Amino acid sequence: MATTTAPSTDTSATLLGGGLSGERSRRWVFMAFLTAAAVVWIIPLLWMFSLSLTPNEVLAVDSTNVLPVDATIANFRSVLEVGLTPRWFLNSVIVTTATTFFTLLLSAMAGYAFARIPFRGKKIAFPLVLAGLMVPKESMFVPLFLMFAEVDLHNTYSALSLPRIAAPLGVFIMTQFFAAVPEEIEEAARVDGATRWTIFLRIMVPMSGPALTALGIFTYVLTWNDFLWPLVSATEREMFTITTGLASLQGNFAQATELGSLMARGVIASLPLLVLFLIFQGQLIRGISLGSGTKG
Amino acid sequence: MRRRLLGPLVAIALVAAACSGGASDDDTTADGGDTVADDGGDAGDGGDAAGDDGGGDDITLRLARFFGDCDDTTQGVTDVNEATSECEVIQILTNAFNAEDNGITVEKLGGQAWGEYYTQLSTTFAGGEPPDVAVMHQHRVPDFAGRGLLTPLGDLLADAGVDFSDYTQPAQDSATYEGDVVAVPFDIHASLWHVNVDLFEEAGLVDGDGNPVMPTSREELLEQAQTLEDATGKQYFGHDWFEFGVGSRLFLALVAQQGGSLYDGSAATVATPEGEEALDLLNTLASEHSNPEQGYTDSQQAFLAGDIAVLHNGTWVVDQYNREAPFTYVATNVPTIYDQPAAWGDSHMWVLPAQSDADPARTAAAVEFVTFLHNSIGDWAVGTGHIAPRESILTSADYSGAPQRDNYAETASIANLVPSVEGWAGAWDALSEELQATWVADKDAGQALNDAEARMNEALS
Amino acid sequence: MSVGAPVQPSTVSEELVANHGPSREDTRAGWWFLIPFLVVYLVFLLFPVIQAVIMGFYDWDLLAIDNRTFVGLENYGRMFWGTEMTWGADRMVWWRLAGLAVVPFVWLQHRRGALGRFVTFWTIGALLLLFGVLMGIHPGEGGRWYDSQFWASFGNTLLFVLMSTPVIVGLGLGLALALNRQGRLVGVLRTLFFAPYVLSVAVLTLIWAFLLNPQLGLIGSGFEAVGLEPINWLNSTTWAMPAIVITTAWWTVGFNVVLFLAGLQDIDPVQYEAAAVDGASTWAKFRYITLPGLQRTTLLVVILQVIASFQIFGQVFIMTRGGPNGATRVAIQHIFESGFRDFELGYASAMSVFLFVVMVGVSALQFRFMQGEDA
Repeated sequence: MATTTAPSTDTSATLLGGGLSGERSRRWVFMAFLTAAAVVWIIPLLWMFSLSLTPNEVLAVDSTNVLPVDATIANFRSVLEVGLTPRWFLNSVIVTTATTFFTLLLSAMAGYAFARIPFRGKKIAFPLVLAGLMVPKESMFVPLFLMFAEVDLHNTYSALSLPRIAAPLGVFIMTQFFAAVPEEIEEAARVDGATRWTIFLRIMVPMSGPALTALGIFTYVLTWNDFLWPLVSATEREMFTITTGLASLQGNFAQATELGSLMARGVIASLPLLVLFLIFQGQLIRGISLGSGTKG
Repeated sequence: MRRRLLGPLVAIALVAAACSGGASDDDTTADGGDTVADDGGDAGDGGDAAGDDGGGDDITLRLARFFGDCDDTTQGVTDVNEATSECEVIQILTNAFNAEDNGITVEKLGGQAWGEYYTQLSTTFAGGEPPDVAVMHQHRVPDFAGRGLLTPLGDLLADAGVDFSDYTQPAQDSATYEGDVVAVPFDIHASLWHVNVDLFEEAGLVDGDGNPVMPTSREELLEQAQTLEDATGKQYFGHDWFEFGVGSRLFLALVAQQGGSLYDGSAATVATPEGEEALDLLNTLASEHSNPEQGYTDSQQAFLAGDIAVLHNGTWVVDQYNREAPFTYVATNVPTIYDQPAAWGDSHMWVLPAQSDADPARTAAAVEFVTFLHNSIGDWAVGTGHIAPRESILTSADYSGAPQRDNYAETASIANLVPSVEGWAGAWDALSEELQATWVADKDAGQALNDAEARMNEALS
Repeated sequence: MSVGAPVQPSTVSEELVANHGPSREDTRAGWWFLIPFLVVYLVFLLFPVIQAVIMGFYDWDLLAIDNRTFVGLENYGRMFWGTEMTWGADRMVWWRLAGLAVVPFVWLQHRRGALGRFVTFWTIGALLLLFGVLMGIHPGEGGRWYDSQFWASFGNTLLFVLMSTPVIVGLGLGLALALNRQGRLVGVLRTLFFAPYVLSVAVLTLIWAFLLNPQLGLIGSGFEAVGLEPINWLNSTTWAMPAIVITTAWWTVGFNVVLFLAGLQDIDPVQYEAAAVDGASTWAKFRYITLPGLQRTTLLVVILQVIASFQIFGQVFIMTRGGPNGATRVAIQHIFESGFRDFELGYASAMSVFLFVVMVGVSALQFRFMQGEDA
């Protein structure tokens, strides 16, 4: 165990204190307990995977197994072959990718301007953008709905993406990041005659990889899971995202007889994010810390 | 500063919108539903449509409906006899229409569950792109017709050869708004009592022919319930007590049986002696002969498992119960507890939302589709258990030959359609919630009825 | 890579040009970089707020969005008022006393110098007005609120905030303390506890609606296994809201764990070493080092949790539709239904504005944090 190298951050060790051998056995008990808790914690998720692999007929009789009975991938096959689940999935990928891309681009540009360019009007613009941090999005869907209705843009990818791109949080994070970049790096390039745009693209963006990744993953997760706005804006079945599509199949009691298929849809909806999460776990966690104002 | 910026801002916003749209849109969304056909969805149609109507342009109609999703089980099926549920009947009918060589393809929109259907339908109106054909309950028609959102159908239907006078009088009335025909009735659906005859027999509550004896007064009802429970140990009465406002349906029936009504033509009238009596009976049932914690699914499960003697549910489950009940099952009219027979009823209707850019060819196609549905009312009624709203079908052999239909034939005439008035949906929800509060949360009955009336009138104003 | 403490933007560049003011060229460049964001921001974030305020003064029909009638404050009257209104000192007396109990606390903070006079004055004034006066207003004999659902649904949102915040924050802190150690196993455990956070609300409800179902779900069979009657969670007026809280806790606690873990890293190790030398007990170390060290983080987590909880909608909407008997109908659902079931966009907007004002109050606190401690 690496605890000896970092005793100070190990609150549980200090909490449990005591003699050396006693400490060791207590540590074992503690870890066993914690592991058991984590396993219980994850059971609902495992249960979804298990049900998705179980035939619907088996589930009609008993759905309380954590391990699949008569495992089959028939549910996945039927979900992918019939119905709109693949389409909803595609919609989600398109909307989420576009939203993330534009959020990163616009946030980085605006953040660069605020952090590095002394321009007239900044003293008004920056507080104006920060004020946006206080706007609770979920309470503003009615006027937003009306706006898109008036220009006839509902049921389009634009309508699903645009409102989320207006993310002052992204600007705030990128401003902080760029402000911390040493001035000399940019100065050197300017002496060489590089334009602001070149500096931004060639120096600043490549440097901000970690910050952009963190912000990007955070945005991706939030957008993928968005519910209220897609519910209001995308009313055509073909334009549902996987989140609203999946919601539309619940509360429909006929579906209770197709528990396996329903759970297969759930797995399909969450698998990409779970995979992304496993790969970019560190960045997502940093994104959360950055995004909520604790130190990164 | 801001004023100088505003012009360019809007311009750039539009460009930005166009850009992100262009970057990510495919043409599905370019102009509403004309291109919604999914990849490979209509591979068969392309070739043979060419000879049809000159250009060979297929018209794709956008259909908004509830009844659920059952693509998995109905793909490629066009024989309505294979249907086992509401959803399958309507989907197979749609498939059959699409399979006809008429150059019209009907695509279903919106996949929301029942509760969300009207929300989604409304937003399509607000967004300026309502569907070409939509289904709605008769009590919702005024909400839309009152705002001029439905295409008047009288002449169009007459030209298409639909004999409107064949519809039953209640159906005709509710399809008409201020003198205009605005809807095509598809059915009358109503409450029934679904009876487990085995349990009735065990309690000695059957007549000489083995038919269950139905109570004819409040006293008989409660006495019968007690007798049955003593004899069998099972629950006498069950229904959904809190999910879909089924309690209010029985309330409506009981009020109507006393000669009352929930709406007097201008305002809600529930805080009445009739209302008090009806609610009192409901609460007596709830506390002594039922389980008010049961919702739609559990009460149905319990009934089918043989644990409930009488289930109060609609016409739409008759065929399912007839198939699945492991006991002798009879569907019967809601019993007349008070002075005159009455049961809750409503009606599904097809409407053609008014289009801002009315294209005669599309309208004609939509009329062709609803005419097809009009002609399929018999299939719908036989396949679902709903009551046909057309005289000629009610008297047909096919219809009365379907299971159980004779047992509840009378319901066609005693079904008391819920008031058809603007804002009724909100009023009904308020009524249901207040009534439920009396058996779920022990709210004082008189207070609940007063509150319900006030809330209903607010919703109706 | 560490971004470090919040930095006031542009301090460096501004110093360089302080004497000359921004050059024309820089101004142009700055705006070009800013404008794409600013446009989207103004159009899709700020404008809707203004639009909501305007719409709140109109009778605005969803199905005929071009027809609207100016009705002044009628929508607000419908929200806040009723018939036969009176005032009673004993109305909701315990809630009000609890609210008023905050007043001395604020005063104490002021005396300790933690709060300025201005803030103290206004906070105490607002508390007295709200709990002392406003909450005493209610419909008298034979009267009723114009929209009783408004109060019921905002009350349910508030109830959810009050129930979920201690549970989710407390659980987050506990897990963070337990997981604040090194090693591969702990890393895996952290991942497991955090994983539910990436699920979408529809998947969450899919799992939990069935999990909580007394016949179909694991929880019901677990109850039966130990000889208890399974609870019909989502069909019970008593248990529906706790079930939603449990579901939400499982979903989002990972987020708080992350924030608490970050906070724990910021506590100076020297403090623990010094305490160990002094022979301090475990509890003493927790009480006098860990907790004070986490004060800022805890406040932040609480604020974020309150903001998030105020926006509760998806879980309830999919799992219970606000039932049974309205026990879980929350504010956003009422707004949604008013606008999209009853077609009353104007009234829905007015309620949005109210929710907005309440939440801005809470967000303003978070805003202070992000500005840095001394702002």
